[in-house]
Amino acid sequence: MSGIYPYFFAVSRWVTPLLTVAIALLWVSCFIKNKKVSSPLAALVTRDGISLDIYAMEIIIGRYKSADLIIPINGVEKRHALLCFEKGHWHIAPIMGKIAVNLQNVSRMAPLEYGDKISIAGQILTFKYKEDENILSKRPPSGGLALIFLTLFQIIVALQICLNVWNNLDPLIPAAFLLLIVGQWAYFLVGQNIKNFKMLLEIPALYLITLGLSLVSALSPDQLLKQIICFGIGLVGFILLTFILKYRGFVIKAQRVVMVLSLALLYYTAFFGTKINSARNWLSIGSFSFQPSEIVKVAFVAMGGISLYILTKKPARRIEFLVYCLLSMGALAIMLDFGAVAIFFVIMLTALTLRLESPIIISGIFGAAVVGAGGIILLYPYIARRFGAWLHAWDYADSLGYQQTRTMMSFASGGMLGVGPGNGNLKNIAAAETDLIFGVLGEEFGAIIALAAALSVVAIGIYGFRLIKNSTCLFDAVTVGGATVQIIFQTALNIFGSVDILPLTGVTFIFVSIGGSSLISALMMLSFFKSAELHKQSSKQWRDSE
Amino acid sequence: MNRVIKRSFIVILVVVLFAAGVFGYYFSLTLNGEGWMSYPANKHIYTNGVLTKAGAITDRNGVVLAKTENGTRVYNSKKSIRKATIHAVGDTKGFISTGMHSAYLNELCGYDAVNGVYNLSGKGNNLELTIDSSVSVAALNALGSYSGTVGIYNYKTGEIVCMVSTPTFDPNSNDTPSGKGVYVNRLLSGVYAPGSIFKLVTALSALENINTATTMHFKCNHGVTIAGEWLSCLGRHNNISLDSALKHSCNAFFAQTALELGRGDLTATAEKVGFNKSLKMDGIPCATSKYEVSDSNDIDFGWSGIGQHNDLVNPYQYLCFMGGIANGGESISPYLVKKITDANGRTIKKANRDSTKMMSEKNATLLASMMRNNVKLNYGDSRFKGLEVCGKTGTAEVGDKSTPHSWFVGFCKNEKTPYAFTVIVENAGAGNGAATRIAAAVLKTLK
Ligand SMILES: [Zn+2]
Repeated sequence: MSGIYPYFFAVSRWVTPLLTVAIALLWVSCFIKNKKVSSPLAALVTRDGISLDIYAMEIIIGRYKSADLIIPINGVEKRHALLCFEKGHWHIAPIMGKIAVNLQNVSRMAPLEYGDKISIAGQILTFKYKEDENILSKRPPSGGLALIFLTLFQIIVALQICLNVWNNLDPLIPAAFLLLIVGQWAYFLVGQNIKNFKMLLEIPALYLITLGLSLVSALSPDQLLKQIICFGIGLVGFILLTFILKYRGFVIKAQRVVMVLSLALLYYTAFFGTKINSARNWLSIGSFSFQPSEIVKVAFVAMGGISLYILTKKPARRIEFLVYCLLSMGALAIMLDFGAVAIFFVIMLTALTLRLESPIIISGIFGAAVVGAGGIILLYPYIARRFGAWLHAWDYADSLGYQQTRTMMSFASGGMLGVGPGNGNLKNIAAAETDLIFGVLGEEFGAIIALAAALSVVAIGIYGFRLIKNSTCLFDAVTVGGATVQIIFQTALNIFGSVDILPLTGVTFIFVSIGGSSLISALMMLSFFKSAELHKQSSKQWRDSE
Repeated sequence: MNRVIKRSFIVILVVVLFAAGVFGYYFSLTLNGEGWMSYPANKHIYTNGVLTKAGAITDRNGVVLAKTENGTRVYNSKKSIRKATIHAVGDTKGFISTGMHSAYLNELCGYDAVNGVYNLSGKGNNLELTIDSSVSVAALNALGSYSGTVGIYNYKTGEIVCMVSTPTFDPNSNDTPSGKGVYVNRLLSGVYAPGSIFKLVTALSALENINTATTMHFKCNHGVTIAGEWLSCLGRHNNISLDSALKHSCNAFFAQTALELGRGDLTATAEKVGFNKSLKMDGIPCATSKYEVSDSNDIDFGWSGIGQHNDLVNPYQYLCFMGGIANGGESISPYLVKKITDANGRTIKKANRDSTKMMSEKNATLLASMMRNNVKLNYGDSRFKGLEVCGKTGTAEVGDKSTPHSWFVGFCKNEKTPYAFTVIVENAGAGNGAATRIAAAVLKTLK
């Protein structure tokens, strides 16, 4: 059997990039056809019958353009009142102006029923349910065709890996691929029962997961079992978190507990953790070790959403969130995990920006960070020395730039089509399976599939951006924003760090780098996308279920 | 909510920046990927920093110059062949950048941008070169202890049969090679002051631009005064014509011809025959011959017309020029790689054929006959029996105290031996000595 490997690979190395192109085109077509026509959730109707549509679950009624629902008449304040959908009900609350519901003055958050009459500055508006105007006659594609091509891709890559080591093949390798294929189809078929279900997020994620599985099978099959177990944990985490995020009240209550727990975990690691590859960011319990910062990252994104999501009701927990951010980053800096510091910082900036903090505050924080980073480098020059070869890797090709030059050299050796999974040399270099995985991709799978991996991350990013654009609540916008930026930024640090465009900081490529903690973290990060995707429908479903 | 959505532009900004970075990396990959791939730490093609993946390199008669055997790179078993061909073949560590091991690394290893280092056989490709190892050994022996180069090519086909550069070294020896510029292939990468061989350019320019070139005369009084300064000549040639001026290598005649032509016309002719151009031999970049007189005063310009002042010549460029004269004005570009075959013997690439029109057929014939007369009169035709050599010597002054370099450039008119040659021997004295002797010794083996 192993005798046919050279011929099988010689042909199939042309097929996998072609399948990749097909998957990419189908994703793009699915993305375009699913362009959401936004439909109003409810409306305020004037006595003359003019309908002021409500598109989000949190809107501000005001006089000027800065408001979401504009009533441009005298007596209406700039930010007059807040309309929001919470705990399964619509509510209204005054901000700067006076309001009455059914002629009863309202001074705080009051529930609202369809048909209620709201008085604002002498105007009477009726709160009404709004039917979907744009019911699509034809159901847009949900990505099944792309999944068929992806399955073909998976079968071919699995065969490439298995035939290459046929004589001492670990049966877990074909089993793992089979499990993935069966699992993804089960997921797809179950999803068919959900309204508006589509695989826009899942296709790029599954493509990356396939590459990750291929790499662990080809490079270190001894870690495969652990990787499968972590995938299972991550999947459970993904489903649980998606479910929990539906219950905003519970999430808000849990906020402080999560903050304290995550800080405790980080500081415990910083002082009592295990040092692997120059950063003390591992925690070992018996033979099991994991990276707490990976898990805390998920909590961090959620905290950004919670602390900052309430538009006006209570004083936003701004200071509390900032202190939490600083303490978290402090712990990571003590670990010397500067990649993670940068990622946490970027998530924080994204949350603050989406929370409408003034540009002055944001640039102030950014400036403080730059000054702080400069100060740290001045105080501890050895930190700067670690990044000394940056942009000059070839000048230090056999010393400080060793990993980067080997990555570029191996990537170029693979050409467009690669030398085949398991046939490369870069895998023998320290941290190749995590920090330099992009080079392994280029060498063994070729530049086309490596590009597709990078563009899969771009696809997740574009999808995340559209989710924010269509989001109906601030929590969704802030968490999806944080998760999107985290995924992009971390992948940028990984790819560009390994090829000497950015300093090499030692962070992972989501789903592709081998490692349990990052796999769990990446899977759970997707919860924010899925939750926002499902949440959009919830206010309508509430009406439908009554 | 609206304002939140407006702020989300920062998310797409991050996405766009990332995508731009990815494409930037791929752009850099297409520009530099081959260089990254050929780093000697690459275990796909090197073992312990020594090139091993490459296929065999043979000469025109199938003599193996280098091949990979049992995981190491081995050269020909004869020391003289190893030393004579090392600059063409190249060392295994990439010191000789113009050698096949460096310049044709991709072809030897079967690397290309689509397949990378992968190929089904797992072996590299073979190169068949145009050089003749026995002629190369003759050139090596003739050069003896001198530094210099002998380049010979067939001006009808473009095949380079001899490309020897000294000082050289034995790649099988463990000693560190010594000698100034031992890794430099002087034919491709050397530049020297031309001395009198530049008079061929001035003569050609006169034929091209002055109607009475073949009949005009200039005065030589052991030299001539130009712009108040003295330009000396080795003889007193009185009233001399172009044909005899070339025969007697009269400085006064060619300096005055240069002034008669003017800077523009002479530069134009020089550039037509390859000066101020980045020439390539089979894609390998060569050093550039320089002729730059736009800022020079009259006396310097006069000197430039006889190959002094700041003139510089790359021997390979002159080889092309000689080929142009020999082949009726059309210079066939010399090449070294006859063909590339894969491990199964299938030809994957044939020789690069190219040519440049340098001058009219009439002027080529005129120049050739003057060079032929020159050989007959000065160097003794019997030394080149039956070859009908046309040529010109030159002496390149190098500073005050050192012995000058010796040039001999030309070609054989004989139909059976259509070869053009350039020989330069460093610190060997006047051209009509070491260089002609070495050329004669090597050309004899071509019959
Ligand atoms: Zn004279």
